[in-house]
Amino acid sequence: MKMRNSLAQKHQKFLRIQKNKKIFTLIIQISVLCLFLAVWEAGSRVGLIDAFLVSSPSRIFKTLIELNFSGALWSNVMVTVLETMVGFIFGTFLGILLASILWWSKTLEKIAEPYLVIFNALPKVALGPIIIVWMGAGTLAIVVMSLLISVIITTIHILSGFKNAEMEKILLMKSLGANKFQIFKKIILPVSLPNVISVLKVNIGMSLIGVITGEFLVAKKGIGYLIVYGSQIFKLDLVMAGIFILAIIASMIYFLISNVKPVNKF
Amino acid sequence: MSGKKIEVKNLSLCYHTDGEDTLVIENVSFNVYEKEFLTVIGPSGCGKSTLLSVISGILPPTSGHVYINGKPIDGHNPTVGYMLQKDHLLEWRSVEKNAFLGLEIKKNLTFENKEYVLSLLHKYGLGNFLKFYPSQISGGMRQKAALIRTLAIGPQILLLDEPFSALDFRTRILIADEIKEIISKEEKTAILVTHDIAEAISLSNRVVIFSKRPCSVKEVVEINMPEAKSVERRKDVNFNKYFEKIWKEIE
Repeated sequence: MKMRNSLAQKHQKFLRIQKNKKIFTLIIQISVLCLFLAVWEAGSRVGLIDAFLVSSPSRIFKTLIELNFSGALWSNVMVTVLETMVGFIFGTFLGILLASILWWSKTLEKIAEPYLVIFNALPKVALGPIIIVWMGAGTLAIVVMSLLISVIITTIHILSGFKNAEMEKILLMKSLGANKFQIFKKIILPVSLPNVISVLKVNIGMSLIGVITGEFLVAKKGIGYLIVYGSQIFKLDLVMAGIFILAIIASMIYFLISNVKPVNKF
Repeated sequence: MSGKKIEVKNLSLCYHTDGEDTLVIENVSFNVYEKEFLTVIGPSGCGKSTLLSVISGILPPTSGHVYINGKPIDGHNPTVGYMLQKDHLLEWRSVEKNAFLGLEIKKNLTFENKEYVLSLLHKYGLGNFLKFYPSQISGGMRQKAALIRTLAIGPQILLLDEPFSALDFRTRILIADEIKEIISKEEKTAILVTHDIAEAISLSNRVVIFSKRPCSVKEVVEINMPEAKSVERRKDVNFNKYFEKIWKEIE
């Protein structure tokens, strides 16, 4: 009994130390942020750094309030988020579809291989001007930009996931008389589900890059537009505010996606 | 022993690769009789598993024929059930859903068929684990679940490709016995592939010994021992005699 008590005490102590470590890390993280903001703010007030060029936390905050009251904040955030979602969904869907087709036909995969490699290596941003000429300087061009950035990398990763399924499991399916479609549905898809989800996590970031690049080029609406517009009229407060909003959007999307867990319904 | 169930005649198989052709099976002929338990034994990598793939119809032979019930095989054959080295239960399906897999594939998941599979699961000790996932049951149970998955589609012949090799020694003997019992109770014909001599003697009616690659039949040994649990057979006076005979034949 005594032994067990002392073990329980040790466990309690261990838990306490773990908890303290976590709190300590959090405190340091917050302190670093506060210190950074404070130095930035103080530096710009004293005149150590030029607030016109690097802005300051208080000026960014003021700009955000102004944007909020003029209604520009939410309309631009909504545009960027919506474009990202559409680009993400289409890019992922198209990528999975392409990967499935290439898995289905080995010949097609062999034919497509060099094109995939080249298109993957090509910086898709370079296609921006062409896309704008073809699609017009609007939402469509931005979504297409975002889709192009994510689709090839999705195809490549999902396809390699499909091909990772154990040969023996496929042999088992064949011994039960399964056709190719049944093998795909009952083995390939469920086996690669965790891989698909990790690709989704990368993709959402890719889509956001595509959308911001698109908004830079089209420059009509969205957070990317705010940033470019701010730099053109030399209002660095607006640029910094845009980046701040972007950081918040990106982290919210990240938390949303990282909570997705595979559910098996096969 | 009644009629021929499987007839393997002058079977050869060649793998074609970029550089060369590899002869895996060379002119193999043997018969398996109705309700017989036949073991194929040989050095590892000699092509025993490939032979099973040919008999199951997954792999077409380069030359020669396999007849099942007197008819030459051509592609997948529902009269043959194939059990692989690992159980390959699908981790995302419960035990009963795994057992239904073959019926699902054949689009034959009728009420009677389901009842039949469930009765097998109950009969052979998995009744309390229907809703469990493969990771939650023991290795021996997994192997039994895999056998029932194979039996679900009603094959007359079972091909067993070292199905016990992943189990620990004691479980291996117990499960081998249990699986043999299931096979004889359900009146199936079986071909077991193994490289374990003791396992071959303790389970089968006849042992076919294969040579090194390219594999061909070296010798067929008839095991004249009474039907008994394999632990009992291992104690039989003749056991060592057979062991030595087969030991010498395998290079």
